[in-house]
Amino acid sequence: MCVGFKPRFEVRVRPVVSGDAEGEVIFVNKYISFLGDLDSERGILHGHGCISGKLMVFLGMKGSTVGPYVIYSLSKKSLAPSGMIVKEVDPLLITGCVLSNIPLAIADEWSKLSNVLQNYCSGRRCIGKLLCREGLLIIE
Amino acid sequence: MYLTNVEERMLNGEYGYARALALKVIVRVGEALGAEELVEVSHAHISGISYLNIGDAGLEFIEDIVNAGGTAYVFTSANPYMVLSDFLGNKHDDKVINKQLRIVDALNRLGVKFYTCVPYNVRPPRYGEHLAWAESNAVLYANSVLGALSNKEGGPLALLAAITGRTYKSGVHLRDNRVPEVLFNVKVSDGVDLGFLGLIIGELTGSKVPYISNLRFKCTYELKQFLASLGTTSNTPMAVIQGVTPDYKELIRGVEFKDVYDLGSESIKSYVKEFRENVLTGNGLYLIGCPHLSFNELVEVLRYAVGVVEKGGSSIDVRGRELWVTTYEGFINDEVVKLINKLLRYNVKVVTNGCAVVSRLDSIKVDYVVTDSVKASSYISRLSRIPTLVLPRVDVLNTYFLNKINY
Repeated sequence: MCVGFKPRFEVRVRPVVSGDAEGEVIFVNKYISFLGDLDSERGILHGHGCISGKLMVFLGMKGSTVGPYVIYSLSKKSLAPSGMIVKEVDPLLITGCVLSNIPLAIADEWSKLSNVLQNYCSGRRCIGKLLCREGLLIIE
Repeated sequence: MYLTNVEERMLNGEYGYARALALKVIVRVGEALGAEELVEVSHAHISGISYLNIGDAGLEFIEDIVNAGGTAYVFTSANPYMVLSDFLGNKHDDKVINKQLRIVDALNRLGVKFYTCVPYNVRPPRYGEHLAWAESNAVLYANSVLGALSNKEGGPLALLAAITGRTYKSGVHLRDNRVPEVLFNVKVSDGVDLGFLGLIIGELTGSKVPYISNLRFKCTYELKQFLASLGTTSNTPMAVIQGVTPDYKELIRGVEFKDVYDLGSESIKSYVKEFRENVLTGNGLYLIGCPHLSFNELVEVLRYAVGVVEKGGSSIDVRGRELWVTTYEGFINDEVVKLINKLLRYNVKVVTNGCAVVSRLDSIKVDYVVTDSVKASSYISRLSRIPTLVLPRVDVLNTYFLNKINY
């Protein structure tokens, strides 16, 4: 019997806001302003679609100090992502994630992670599992 | 992170849900920034309370945290909010005003005592006192002039510090981070607007602490304007100023500056030009009080204005113009009332607890702004997208009453 090959990638991460999260990966290779780039009423990131329940991988947060409030508001409406993995954290992003109970981790091996996501996940649905206790992000 | 017994208990919920949540945020942020412990603060100052900036998301959060039992653990003040009164009869939408009032109501319930951008006037901190302030001009004043210690707390962090009386110990709470890295030798002639100088130094220093030597300030007003401008273009929470910063000699001892700038009056001229080239037509707001006026400044401005109108008599025509003098509540004594009454018919308003910068002036049909504040001009032209003109304070008043628009 032939079992289909299923690639699996592991990337080490450093948890900042602990917890486990799972979801379809949304990869945005840039800094995101939660005030300007996001439709917080519908949970849609302009140019990337719905972020609700998904695992967001992006460079970090930029811009307005209103960002934490937007994350909090998304979470109250059950529109928030399930977890966030970033290259760089800043106080505002951490604030938003703690207030909303969203696991957040830093990917120190950012170039490895972005290579995997760009090559393997481009044009297909990838599922990510963020395991903060183990310090791991698993991409399938 | 090391936590004291009280902090452990607070984190475990013994002081209520809101304090536990607030402390959790502060600890996580602190850990991410490498802080080893928290620091007790004696005064928190909250920014970001204008509905026009924080919107429904911010309103929702502030109401939720207060409804969850979030009350001030230490003395707490907040920034001024959008101006609620009209401009020449044009008001903000009632819905917007009501939402702003809901934010203020929640903050009152939290225990906010004053709404002003000059918390150092309502409760001057002592030398060496730790603070959690979020307003850039106030943070610069506290660190650089009073020798108190505060980072520029971002977003909701000052609010969370108000509820817990704590912030993370990093940045300029640590002595080593107060040592300046960039030297500015300043030689400017008398009469130069130091607001513009602040803007230039802020741009050059970036997020590094500057040491400013040879600069003389004639009065607190100049110092306030200078620091407010510096905070407009820079992220630094502090500037070490020769003869002003209480421990400046110790802070510069042994420092070898790699970055050195010499600034003279010439450096400022091109900036001044940029701020004075706008063509102003339509209905104008004349603005004094960014940062908010102290009591002495308020009386001085009102007396000067009364002097001008008494001299000008019936020739004064202020059609199409309004003058706002912004400050905080608590100054209204008999003399101030008398002065205000003499100015009412000249469209003069003493606006308390309000800030023109966070008021989206274009929505209330302001076509241009004339102000003595480089900070106000810089933000208003970007946020409200209307032309602005910066003049010395006396000239703002003269221009307003005597209709001499060209400077």
